[in-house]
Amino acid sequence: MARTTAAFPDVPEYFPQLVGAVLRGGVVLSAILFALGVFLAYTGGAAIMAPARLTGSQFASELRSGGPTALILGGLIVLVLTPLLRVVISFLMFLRVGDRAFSAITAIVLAVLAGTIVIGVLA
Amino acid sequence: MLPIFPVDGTLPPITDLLLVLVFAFAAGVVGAMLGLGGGLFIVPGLVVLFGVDIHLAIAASLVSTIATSCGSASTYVEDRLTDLRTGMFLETSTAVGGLAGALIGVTVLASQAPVLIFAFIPVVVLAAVLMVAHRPSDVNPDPPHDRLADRLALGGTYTRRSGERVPYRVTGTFGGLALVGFSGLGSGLLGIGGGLFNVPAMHSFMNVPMRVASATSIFMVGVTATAGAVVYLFAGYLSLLLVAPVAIGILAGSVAGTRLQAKASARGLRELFVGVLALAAALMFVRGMGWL
Repeated sequence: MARTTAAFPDVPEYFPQLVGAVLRGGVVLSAILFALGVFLAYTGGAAIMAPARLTGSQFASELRSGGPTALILGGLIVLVLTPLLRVVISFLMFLRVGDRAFSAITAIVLAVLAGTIVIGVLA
Repeated sequence: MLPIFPVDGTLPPITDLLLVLVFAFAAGVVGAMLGLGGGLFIVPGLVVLFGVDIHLAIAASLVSTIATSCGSASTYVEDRLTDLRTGMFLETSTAVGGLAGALIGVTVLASQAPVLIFAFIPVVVLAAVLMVAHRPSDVNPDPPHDRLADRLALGGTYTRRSGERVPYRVTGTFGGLALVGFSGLGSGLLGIGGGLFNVPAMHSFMNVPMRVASATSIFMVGVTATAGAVVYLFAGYLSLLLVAPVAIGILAGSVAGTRLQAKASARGLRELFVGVLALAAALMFVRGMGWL
């Protein structure tokens, strides 16, 4: 099997497995939610939310409503949070083992992603 | 005439939904076989074949990029083919680029759909040129020293399938950061993933072995596309009924494409790629001129 040794010597051996599991879990869960949402929309005949700018509270109420819109929106949120969660886990791991350089690097990525969400919610 | 996919929330006929699903599957197969993700094909396809507004097409493409990135990267990371150090380092730049590109797309270019459509054409042509011109070269055993790369200990030993061990040391970090930042900008602005420029940036510029560069790019584009997708989501460009079939189709297609890749010849793949891209550029031109 082709592979590279470029890795983090101080980080526990299970780290790549953990990252892989988070990524796979997120994408599988969101695909299930997408498929269920579309299926329910067609069997139940319900309309799906049209593309629109949503405020935070509209967002929350769409999610609470249940039904196909909530399922697809939920899948979307799971999917967007998956890479974010992967960065959070990496950041905490580097922090724990005292890898200052990579703590800082992952913190920058985290700040950009979190900043994007904050800009979105405020704008 | 092909169906116009509705975006006002009403359900399109199930046959139209299936057509989008099949098309996304095909884009996923071709994208994975070429290691690019489906975005380069799905955006022109949705715009030209399904009459989807380009902003909605870009947003759907970004979401499916997150899905394919997470799906493929999970395997590559577990198999230790991803260079996590170099990838995480470069993500700082692609994430900023992805955010900036998406912000430009939803503000300055919010009502400039033709500009985005025409912007696609040079990118598609450049992609074709890069693909034909790019010859995987060997890793330089002793590249110029790069202070930042040395400090972060970027590099490692790549073991080929044959068992041959290839030590590599990363170089050119500043040029690499700039190139992947540009790639992120393209991702946020046009929804084209970003593997197209990430791979040459890492391989030709930073001395990362080709297969490692590919696996690392797939890992990185998830973060890049997330930055862009969130902007499009909040700007109101996400059509849930479009996103769901596109993401599922591309995801399934990329799984099939990855399997097929092992059986296809490199030359045949490149010809397929150039042909598909020429078609995409021509269709976008026709659409941009308003002839269709």
